[in-house]
Amino acid sequence: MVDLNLLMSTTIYGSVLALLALGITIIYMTTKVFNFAHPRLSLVGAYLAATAMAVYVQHAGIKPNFEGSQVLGGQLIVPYPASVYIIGFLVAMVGGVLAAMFEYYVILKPLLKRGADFLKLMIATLAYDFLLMAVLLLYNTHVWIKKTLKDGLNLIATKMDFSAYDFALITQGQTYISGGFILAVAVTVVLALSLYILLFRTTLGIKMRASVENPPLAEVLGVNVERIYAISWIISGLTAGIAGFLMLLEPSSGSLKPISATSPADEIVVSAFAGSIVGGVNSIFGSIFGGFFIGYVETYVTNWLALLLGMKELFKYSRVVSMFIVGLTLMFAPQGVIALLREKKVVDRILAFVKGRRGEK
Amino acid sequence: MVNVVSLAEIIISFIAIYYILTVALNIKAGMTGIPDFGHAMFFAIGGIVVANFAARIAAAFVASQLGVSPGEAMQLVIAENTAIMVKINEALATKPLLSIMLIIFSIVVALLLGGLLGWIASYPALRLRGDYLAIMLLTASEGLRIFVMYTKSIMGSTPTVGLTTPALFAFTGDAGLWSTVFVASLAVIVYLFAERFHNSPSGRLFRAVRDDEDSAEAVGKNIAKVRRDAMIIGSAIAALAGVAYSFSTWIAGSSIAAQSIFDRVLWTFWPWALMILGGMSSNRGITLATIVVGALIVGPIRIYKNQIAAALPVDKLGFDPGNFASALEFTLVALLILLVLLFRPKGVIPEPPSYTLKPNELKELVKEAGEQLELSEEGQQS
Repeated sequence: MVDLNLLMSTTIYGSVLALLALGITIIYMTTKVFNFAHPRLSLVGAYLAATAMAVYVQHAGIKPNFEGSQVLGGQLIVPYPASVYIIGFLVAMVGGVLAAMFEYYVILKPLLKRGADFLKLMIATLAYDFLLMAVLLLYNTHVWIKKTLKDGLNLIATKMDFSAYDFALITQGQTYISGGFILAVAVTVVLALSLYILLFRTTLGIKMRASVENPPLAEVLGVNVERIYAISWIISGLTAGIAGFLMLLEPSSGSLKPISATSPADEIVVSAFAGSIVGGVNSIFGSIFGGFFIGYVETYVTNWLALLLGMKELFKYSRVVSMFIVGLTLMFAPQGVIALLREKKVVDRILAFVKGRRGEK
Repeated sequence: MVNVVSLAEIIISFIAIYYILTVALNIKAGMTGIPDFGHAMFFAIGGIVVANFAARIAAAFVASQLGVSPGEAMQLVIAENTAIMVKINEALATKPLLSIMLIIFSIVVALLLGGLLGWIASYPALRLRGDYLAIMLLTASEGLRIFVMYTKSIMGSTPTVGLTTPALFAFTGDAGLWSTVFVASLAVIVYLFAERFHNSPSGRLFRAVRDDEDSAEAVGKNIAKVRRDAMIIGSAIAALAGVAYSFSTWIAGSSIAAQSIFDRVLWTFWPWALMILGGMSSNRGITLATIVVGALIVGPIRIYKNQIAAALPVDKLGFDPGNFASALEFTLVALLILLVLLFRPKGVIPEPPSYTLKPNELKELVKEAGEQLELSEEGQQS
């Protein structure tokens, strides 16, 4: 029997990682810097979304839908009207984009103009990460924010957990399909499709790919490379914001809880970069695959190992798994798994290995 | 409130610990060009050595006084840490010889283990370049942090509380003063080492590899060996900083926790900030930056941050004073580093040139050459 709740929470976790890895990859492809602040951008989205939803709920006088509430799997689920979620989703995107644009225009662009090398850019992104952490720390301990979140959505500002307001779509007995799960899958698929159309079916996409391949040549041919970079930062911020909104909807037992100024961005940074690297830092669709891959592997491999070894505590070490995956990928397939499979090197290598063994005999 | 003497001791310990840690980073990142964003994991080795290994050995030696067998005592150090460490520390206060032996043991073991971890970490450092290596080391550090945090036999059952450290300076009567003196003298030794190392043949080789690998290889230098040596030396010194931190009763307090010794902000980012502020690969610049930042900004802010927050009317604006103070430190370090990167990317004292000879020897050589030139010119004229 498949544990449906675990599958759903893992999928939400996987899609958060996929969106984060996507943002990291886009920035690496254009600006050539690993953005260490990226997971924190999604927390900005999560906090702004929660605040906006709380304000909206209070001002519009909306009450949670107690008639539609159910106790499922030991958790009371009290949905709000759809408008609340839509507002949260939109505000999360705006928050992510604003935080990303600030990073690009105020911090990285001046540094790039001064000819900073990759090391200085990386340190600058780390510095921005701490700056955002300080801002979030001030934000979530502010009296007004605490009161708004408490009155509007009954959330504790330093440990946000929105999962009780998730909505159950299909119920049968105690099992149900959660709305957050459907949303996570739908958003990732829609985003991947629209990115595909943007990159391969529009003029802007051709310009973007040209400025990634060869920036000076693209500039000579009349492409405004700086604007392309700005657009890539907007896309990156957008995905980070959506990831932040999905974080809110993850069940309270999941890997992304609780949400505060430091958590989960501090821990998730390993997994998000793992997703980006496994998929290949120069492959947008590879990063989406990589994020889901890391999400499932972290959860299921540790679960399986815990069962195998009879150690219940093993699930705490799940992120050590992604650390190993990063190490192995960088050692043996630095271009990422997708690139490897595309070149069919895997098959060739296995064949060569088998042949080599036979030759030895 | 702390009095003036204690304040001086706190600031001196603070500067000494950060100086050792920054020198370690400078050998890796500044001199050899290895972007080590996992510096905290080498620092943490020192903390683990003192809080775990040294405490267990102390327990085994004083087990007869506790009324248990040495083996049991070593297990109790983890299982009932707080209760047993109080007794062990009482016993240690009357045993100067054991304390001194344990201090020497901690330093030697931390240097060895730090070097070992650096050697392991140099495996990717030989194969990866630039930003990939930075990601790899950051990931390794975070992974190791998670591993240590949840492994009870390393740092106790609660990641935020951790283990009580053995009071190795209690026998002196004034642990605060003598730990400060000891840590400061370690820093002086490291300063002398770093000054000599910068101009030594291996120091110059490290910088040659950083500046141009191909030309270093062309003159027959083994690049892989150089990068490995830099990782080993730098990581061993970082572990020494961890030991110094654990010794210091002013900075670490009476216990150290897994979460605090692996802290990215404190032990990876602050050294980077100090190194960039002082000037990469510039030992005197780092010294100046550590002293100025330690004495003027970080020391007073860490100690008085609650008073500062209380003095500013932040609670009237609705902020929480305690969290405001923490946010203040994060904001200051972030702004400091961003401003330095923007306006002074080479640091306050840029990297000095390598002198191959002492200045007065060089002067004599120049003088001799000048005399010879004059002689030859005279010869030509006549």
